[in-house]
Amino acid sequence: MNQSKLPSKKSQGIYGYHLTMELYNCRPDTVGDIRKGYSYLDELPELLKARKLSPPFIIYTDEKKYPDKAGLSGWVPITDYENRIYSGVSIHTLTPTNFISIDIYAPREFDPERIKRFTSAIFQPKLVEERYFVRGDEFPVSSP
Amino acid sequence: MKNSSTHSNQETGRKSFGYHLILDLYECNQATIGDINTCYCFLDTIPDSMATHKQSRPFVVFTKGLGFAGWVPIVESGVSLYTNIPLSFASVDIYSCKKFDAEKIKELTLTTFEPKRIKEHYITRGDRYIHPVRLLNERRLT
Repeated sequence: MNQSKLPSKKSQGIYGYHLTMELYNCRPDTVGDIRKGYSYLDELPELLKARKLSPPFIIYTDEKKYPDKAGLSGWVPITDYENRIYSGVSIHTLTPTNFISIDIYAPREFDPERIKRFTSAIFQPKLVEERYFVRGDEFPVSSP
Repeated sequence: MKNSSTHSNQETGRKSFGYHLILDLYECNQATIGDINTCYCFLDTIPDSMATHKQSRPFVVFTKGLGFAGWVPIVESGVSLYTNIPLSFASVDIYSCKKFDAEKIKELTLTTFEPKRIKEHYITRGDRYIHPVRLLNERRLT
């Protein structure tokens, strides 16, 4: 994986494009900040040229019950401008290790480097691992 | 992409952060992927099937005749489901920092949505992750 150039939707029947990112050693005061997490999910769809289906949902993990898993979990459902394809963006953060895991599943092709830069500017990780791949790529050429 | 793990993970002996089962389902039963109750119940019950801990009830968006978008947060990460009724297509992402029985979850998914074809990947996530206990030990040593 880790391909920067993927088949385009025009040339193949592809449902969506998926970027996974693991962010290590993020800036500590950003990892558990629910406002930052919410804003990230709220602003990202526009960069993906997608429309939000609802405002983001984001919650704290119970840090008393699960101290090694304290952090945030959030999601925003998205669709293409034609409202034909549903997908979404999710984030899971861990304050004990300043680690963040993100899944971006978009209805149209996007520039993963641009998204990585946007993400890194907010959470300031020292290291990022990513994969970029297509989803639903076995449709006939004319669809979706 | 199937069952992948990176060299860094093997070289350091560290455990990965998590496990991600990716399922793209083609030619599903439209009656199931187009039914909000079926989709909701799938998300609501799957955390128990994985022996993980649900953090809340699922969050969902549904448009009759078009599809479903839903997510359930688990302490160990999250599960999402997107369906497209006109295309008879569904995408499922099951991501957990706790190892789970991928075959069991796949079977449960296939039984629910009855696809004629599937494309699946099972990948590890966060291969450079240092678990908190180990991290504390490493900090003590430095």
